Amino acid sequence: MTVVTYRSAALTALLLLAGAAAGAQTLLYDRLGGAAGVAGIADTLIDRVSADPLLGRSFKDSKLERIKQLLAEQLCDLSGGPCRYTGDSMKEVHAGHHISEAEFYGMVGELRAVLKERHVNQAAANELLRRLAPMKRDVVETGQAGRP
Amino acid sequence: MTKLHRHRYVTALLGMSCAPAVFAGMVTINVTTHSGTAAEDTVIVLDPLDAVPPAHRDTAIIDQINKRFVPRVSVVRTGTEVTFPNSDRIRHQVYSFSPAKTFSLKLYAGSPNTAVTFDHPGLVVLGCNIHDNMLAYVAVVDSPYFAKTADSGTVSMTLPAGRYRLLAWHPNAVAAIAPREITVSAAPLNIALGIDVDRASAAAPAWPE
Repeated sequence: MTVVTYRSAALTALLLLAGAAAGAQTLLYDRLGGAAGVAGIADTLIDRVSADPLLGRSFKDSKLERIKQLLAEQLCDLSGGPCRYTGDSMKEVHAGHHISEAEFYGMVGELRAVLKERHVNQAAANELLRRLAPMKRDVVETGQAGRP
Repeated sequence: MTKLHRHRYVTALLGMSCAPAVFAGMVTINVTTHSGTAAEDTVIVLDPLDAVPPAHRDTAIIDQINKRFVPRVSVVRTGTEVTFPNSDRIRHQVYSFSPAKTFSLKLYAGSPNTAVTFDHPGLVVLGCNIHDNMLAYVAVVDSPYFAKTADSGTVSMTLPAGRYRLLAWHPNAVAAIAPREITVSAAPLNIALGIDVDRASAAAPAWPE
């Protein structure tokens, strides 16, 4: 009887340890709030930037619902969630819109604010931004400044 | 005599030598709204009831300019290959869910033009996946006798004598316009059509069958 109790306690301790380890490895996707989280982030972000006097320019006449849906899919994919981004490449999506650095960082700022409002912790927010950062070279139009 | 006139004259002569009984008549159709304004871009089709015109391969262009389809209304013969250039520097995704032609086309700035063959008669409604308010209509018709009314609401067509079914369609017409039968002869024929138009409505009427 005693033996069984000890063994059970040991097992419980082991399970707790395993649980703690899994917690540290929780997917960024889950830390963003899973499917509802990425959908909410995409919704609020696109609503904000499309209504912004500076950032709204490149969203004019566009189907915002579609952008929200594809952005949620992209965030899900990028954060390790069970999705595969089906939209066009960032280069194709932004081609011809002449996105400036100011617009890019304006959107990053809005994203930070949205993540904070949604109580995504700082480490998860930083991790998401780190994964998004390489897209800058495909989004921002460089070498155009000073051209007539 | 201009080159165009001479060409028409020669064509008419040739036509006569092949089929002496065929002569041409002119039909003028004037479409106005019930409030009295001209209904431009009304599609007019004259379906011959006495003869079957030979099939003909044709081409047409529907461009993307400033997030608009240009032209907004097209009429093409069945079998026409329509090219979709993209004059914008941003991408578009043209699609149609219409039974007469269902397709989807990704148009990137600067990429080669893509063509779609409209091989079934009927009305095809075009949209863009990416942009709201991009809307265009392609009326695909078997008859070689078709036109769109000008800004004045009027169009004139010269066509062989005989009986025709006159079809009219306007993207903003409140109701379908009933087809009618007309007879073309040497005497000029003037037809006045009155339609109800709601320019704010996005729902186009069905194609007249």
